[in-house]
Amino acid sequence: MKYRNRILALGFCCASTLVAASDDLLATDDFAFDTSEIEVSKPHWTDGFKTTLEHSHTQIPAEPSREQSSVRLEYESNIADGWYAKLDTRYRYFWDKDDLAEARGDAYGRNKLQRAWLQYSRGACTATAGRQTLIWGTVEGTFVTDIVTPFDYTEQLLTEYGNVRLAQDMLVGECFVANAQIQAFYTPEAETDIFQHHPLSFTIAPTVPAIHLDQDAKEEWGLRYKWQGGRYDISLMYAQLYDNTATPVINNNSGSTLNDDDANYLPEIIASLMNTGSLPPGLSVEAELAKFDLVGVASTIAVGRLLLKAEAAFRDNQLLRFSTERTERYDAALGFEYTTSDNHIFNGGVWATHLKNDKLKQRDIQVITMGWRHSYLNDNLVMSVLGNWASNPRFATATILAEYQWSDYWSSAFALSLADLDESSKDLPVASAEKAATLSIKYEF
Amino acid sequence: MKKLALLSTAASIALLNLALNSAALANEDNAQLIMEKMDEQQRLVSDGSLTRSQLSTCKFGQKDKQINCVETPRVKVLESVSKQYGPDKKDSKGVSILLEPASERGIGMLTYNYDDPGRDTESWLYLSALGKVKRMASGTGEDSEPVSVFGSEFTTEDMESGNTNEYDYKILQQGPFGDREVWVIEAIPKPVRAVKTEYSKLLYWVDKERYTLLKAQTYDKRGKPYKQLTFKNIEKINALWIARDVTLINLQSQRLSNMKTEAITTNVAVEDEFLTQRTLTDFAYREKTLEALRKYFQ
Repeated sequence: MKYRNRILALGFCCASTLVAASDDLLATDDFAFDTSEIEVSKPHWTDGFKTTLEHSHTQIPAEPSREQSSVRLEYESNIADGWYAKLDTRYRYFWDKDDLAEARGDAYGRNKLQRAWLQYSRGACTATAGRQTLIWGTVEGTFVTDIVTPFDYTEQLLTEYGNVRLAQDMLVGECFVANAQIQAFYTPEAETDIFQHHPLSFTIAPTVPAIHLDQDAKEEWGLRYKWQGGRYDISLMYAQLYDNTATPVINNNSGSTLNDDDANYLPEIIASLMNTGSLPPGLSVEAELAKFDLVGVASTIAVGRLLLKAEAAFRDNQLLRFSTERTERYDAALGFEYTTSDNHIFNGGVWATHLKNDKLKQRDIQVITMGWRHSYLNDNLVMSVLGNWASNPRFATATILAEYQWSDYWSSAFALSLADLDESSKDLPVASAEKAATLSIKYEF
Repeated sequence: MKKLALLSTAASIALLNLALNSAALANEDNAQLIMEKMDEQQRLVSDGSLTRSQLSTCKFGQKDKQINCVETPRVKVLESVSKQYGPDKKDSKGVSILLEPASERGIGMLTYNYDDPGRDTESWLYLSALGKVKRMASGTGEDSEPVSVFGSEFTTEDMESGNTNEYDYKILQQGPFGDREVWVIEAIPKPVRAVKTEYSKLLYWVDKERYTLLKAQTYDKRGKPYKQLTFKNIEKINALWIARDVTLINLQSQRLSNMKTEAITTNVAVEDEFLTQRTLTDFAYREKTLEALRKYFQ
């Protein structure tokens, strides 16, 4: 043992001598940095507050631009043992050159209470009451089961995905038992998608009364059971919901005889309007929100760097545009997300919808989404590309987005988007412009 | 006689070689043991701990050997809870919540890491804008390129623990370093590590008494000095030595990051349920649990 120690000492001696000859590693002549020059942030009562000032401008060739400014105030805090509160309100100003302001006739401002809820936790369960969003589903860019929370399309779509969702007054209860999460929600008066801040209506002919698409939904409720394992999870969902957007339907008051080869009576209506200037006798067109049952299943599976996602859902009592018919609807989506070894994230998804009505022709819809995302410059620059294609109405869009964080307070985002739309999709209230450039500047503190 | 003398000389040289080789082997064994002991101590710190840390990053200027930030540092404050699992406590579960800056407040991440190189890391990210938890897929992390941690000069590789078997260690020197006795240990990545590291060599200054790092120096793939780490404000907390102030100076990008542990508690009972997805969305539960743990902050 002594011998071994001597050899060890010799080894140390020789190694030390060799190193000392070339470089004295024990010298303390390193770069000196006085760390006291960095102030330490201490907890403060204002920590729960956050204020965001933002201005965004979207330039669309030969069309009204979008120009909005906003101030947002958020507060969240633990208010007592087991109680937590969150408030998030946002005032937006639509400048006179903004397309929404032009549609109303003048610039205007509007406040939106985005979130205001109180959460109470006890044992394995938690209840959250107040204005909030509830996002179901797994495949991004598809809406198979993610239909509980509607959209606010008056928001800029490209840069703030959270703002685009329209919070509702809800009660959400959740219990966590081992690997399972059981969730229930109740919404006394459901919200519907917002397209503009003045009544939304459309006219199919001067002689026909305007159809008002602003319809009030009533109560909604639903349940979700989610089981989560290490590599995969599965969710089962059931809900009674209203459509998020009203559908113009035919009301056949006197049992008029119409060609029922196709459930869509729009051709007969157009023919009648062209010939007589009025709807066929006994018919009226009105907007309606369907109340339906949703049964859904969603799952994600992680396989190495690959994340596979799947969703499927069934909805009954679906309304058909310009029809007296109702039908059942089946949705399915498959998606993936792949992270490369150098952290490029690629994602894609396919979403297919089938309406089960024998009279329908060509109503199945397919949507394909593809995306890429990567961070540069110590995460200060995030670049992403998003593309999607839909079969009916047919459109294809591509967006390049660059988000840059200038400091802890200032950030900006720049997006370029291109769209290829067919004639029918140009009339959609949420149709993308064929070319648009958006610049957004934000200050957060 | 001459032959005998030659033989004797040859034998002496052989014995000397054997002795030197044995010394080298013993040196490597010793260095390996030191690094393993230091790694074990690091795992003990992470086993049932809550920390509130401030991570500041800036571009620096240099005058002689004194360096200073030449811009307002970017500051992130985060609170993290971690716990070790498994028979040798080599698996870990951790949750981190960003408190500052305001633009990132509320982002939370839950991560399960496994010592088994064949088992994928499991992680979930809470997206505060959508109020949704998103599963992430990053594989085992073993073949990933190092990436910046929260935009700082620290990379995921700099924050790793374990993997002591992926380096060849050698004690280069020992003696006083400032007012502490240290070993200076060289770590050369083995082929299994060489493919995924950005370093060709690392040097560690290990406190002989406390088994903590006082300094580290890394070299890039061309052998040029790359990053220098200094460990200060080393305190004994619950029988464990912890550096509360770590500065990484990136000599190539001329940027530095400083991590200050503002508050820490170790060896506390963290419920297994806290290290689940519930913590990412159930704020009332999360804050109730954290408030109970914060009472032990030092």
